[in-house]
Amino acid sequence: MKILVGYTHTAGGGDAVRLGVRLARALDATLELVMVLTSERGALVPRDAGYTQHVRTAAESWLAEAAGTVPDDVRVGTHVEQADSAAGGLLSASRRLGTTLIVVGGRERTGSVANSLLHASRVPVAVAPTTAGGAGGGTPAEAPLTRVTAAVGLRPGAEEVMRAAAAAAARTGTDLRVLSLVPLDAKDPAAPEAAATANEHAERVRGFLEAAAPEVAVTDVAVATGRGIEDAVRRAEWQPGDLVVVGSSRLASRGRIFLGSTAGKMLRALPVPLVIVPRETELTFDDEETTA
Amino acid sequence: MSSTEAQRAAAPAPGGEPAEQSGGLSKKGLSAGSVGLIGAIVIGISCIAPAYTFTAAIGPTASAVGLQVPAIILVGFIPMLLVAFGYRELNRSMPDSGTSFTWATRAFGPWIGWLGGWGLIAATILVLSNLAGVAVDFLYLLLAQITGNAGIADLTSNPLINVATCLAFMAAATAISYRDMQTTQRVQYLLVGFQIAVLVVFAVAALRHVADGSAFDATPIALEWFNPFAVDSFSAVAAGLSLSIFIFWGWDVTLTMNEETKGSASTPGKAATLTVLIIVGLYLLLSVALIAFAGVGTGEYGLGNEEIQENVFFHLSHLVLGPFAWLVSLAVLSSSAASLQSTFVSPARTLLAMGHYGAISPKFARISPRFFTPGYATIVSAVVASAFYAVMRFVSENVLWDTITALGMMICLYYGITAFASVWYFRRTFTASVRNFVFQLLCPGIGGIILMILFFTTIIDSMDPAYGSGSHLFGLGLVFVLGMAVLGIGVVIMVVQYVRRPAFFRGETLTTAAEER
Repeated sequence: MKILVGYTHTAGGGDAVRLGVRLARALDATLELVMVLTSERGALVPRDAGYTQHVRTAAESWLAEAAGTVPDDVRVGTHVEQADSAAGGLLSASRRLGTTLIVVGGRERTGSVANSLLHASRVPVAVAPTTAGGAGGGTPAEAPLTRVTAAVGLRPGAEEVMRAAAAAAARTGTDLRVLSLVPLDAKDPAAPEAAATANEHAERVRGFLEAAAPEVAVTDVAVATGRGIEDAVRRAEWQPGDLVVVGSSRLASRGRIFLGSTAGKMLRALPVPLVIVPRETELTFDDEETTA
Repeated sequence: MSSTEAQRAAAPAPGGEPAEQSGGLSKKGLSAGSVGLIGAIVIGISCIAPAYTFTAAIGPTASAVGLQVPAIILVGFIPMLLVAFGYRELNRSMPDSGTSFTWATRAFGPWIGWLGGWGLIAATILVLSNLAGVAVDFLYLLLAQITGNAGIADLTSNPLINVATCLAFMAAATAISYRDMQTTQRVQYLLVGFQIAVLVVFAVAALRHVADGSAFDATPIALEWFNPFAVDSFSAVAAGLSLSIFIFWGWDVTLTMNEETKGSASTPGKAATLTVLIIVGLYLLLSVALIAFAGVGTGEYGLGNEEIQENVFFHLSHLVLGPFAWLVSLAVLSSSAASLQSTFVSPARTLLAMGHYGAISPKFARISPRFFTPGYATIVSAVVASAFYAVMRFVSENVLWDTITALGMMICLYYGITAFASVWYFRRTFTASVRNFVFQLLCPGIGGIILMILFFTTIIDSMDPAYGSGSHLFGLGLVFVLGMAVLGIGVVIMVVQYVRRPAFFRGETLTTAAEER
């Protein structure tokens, strides 16, 4: 298996490489560090072959520097990809290299690159948290994966996320937790009736799981409440070795990912990495690209 | 900075192998978004920015050569064309973002190379400040025309408001360049189309005024206007020519786009030819219409009037187009804005190359890791251009005029050096074929000689305090003082760099060479 890391020579790019290393270790995969050079503006300024070459040289040296930070036990390759847009370049590199997972960096995770990727990729996309936002005082950027958390609601499609998370947990030999986020509008999350709502919700999740995906062995079912999704995420329990799996919005076309609004809100608040999986596709982690 | 060191170590010698053959590139770099014939013409016209160029240059040109402006425009294209051939040959042999700097260093060694780079940087920084100044004038004029309040147009003559607005324009253009925000091709097509349409409408309207007798100073069109030998003196021709080089400045990009154009191999040649035909046609139409409409006298709206010369459209558009004058303001404003963006690229790239080869601080070689632009060099260029404009605005009333004339001088200098670099660099190959002889020796050689003559004539003539706008310092013409100050500062910085970074000046980072057969 190969994992593509979308690298930029910024703090966010460093976050992506560190997450790539953790995932590569957990999945026994090779890392492919890819830096996309977008074409210079063709509409106003003519391209300059000399400048293009200078940028390429800089990109290669940045990639070499990044590859140097990857520990020796992880195999790593580097590639410069030329494309019209950063997201487009990552997707075409992914197709060409046959990678089955794309990792992008933290700081830019709400930026346009991650945004385009999170609405178009055919392979799962993992988004690294910013290093500064680590949970529980640990160093999540370095810690091995210990638990896969499937974030599900009670809507159709949750069983897909469950199966993907179960596959990831089995493949990485980690625990599987199912987490349901319950926003309580205008209610105090500490109030007794909120706890009752949460318990009731947990029962419904268990019932739903037994009916929808009986074959999946779940270690833990948790419900997190809050004034909104972001607040609920902050109140949930996180470990340094967590990896969150979310599904695509029902707006996604079959076989592609599409970041829904709930997942988008989670992304902004999460202290741990998040993987979004394509819709209606069996997640295999095989070397061949999953096809729709 | 370690990455800079790594870059330098990894950088190939210029003139080695063509860019697209080296590096572990997965995809041929230039294939994404290559431009077709129309796209290449649009880039060419956009870089020349005819609406902006014409309003800034027609006045000073008319004051130098009188009625023979059309003749000077026709003749002025010749040195530009001749040098552009040499430029194209050098670009083919040694593609490098340092262009004139790198080529002149390879041909003549570090000192002349450094001065060639300095000439390019000085010229582009002068034009940046001039562009921003013109944009300020037209912003307030446009606001006045739209609101119907003529007082707003006068705000531009308040130095504080003017400088503040100019700095805001510069900041915006810098941010756009730094972040490499792209105008989409469609928007660019629209802007260029609009610019040309407005200029044609303006010329036709001016000619109609001439025909129905409502022109300011109707002057009958004569064939004599196209005769360069009818100009009084050689000095006048030289002054006019160095200005007309400015009006074609930017055209050479169409010739160097050979790698990127799609379609047949003749696309770049066609694009360059069509671009120049459009531009020359437009300039001739406009200059004939304007002279016929306003004459070259010194009356209120005559092209010889110093009050209006630095910005002719600004003063004449309401006479010619009446209520539609705002179209001209919008065309010039959009033309300046586009040109401000495209012009920002070249000093930044030359500074980057100079930093890369150790001719100046390696900080200039830094590339923004987020935007892949020469970030440090872009910001330094913007700061220098802004400071230059702010100082000049307070020194001279006619800052726009004098910067344009000094600019012509700088273009002559670095184009001249580039032309001779072609002649010398190709000294072993120009006998190989007739084609090489014409494009590597003959054309750039003649072009370079013409430009050097213009350069020195302008220097000598501009010592006269009455030269250009008539602004002067220490009893010398402001254009002379400006030109010499810019060159002098260049020499001082060069010597400082020699002391601090001797490796470049010993030829250790960029070696002198010649094209081999």
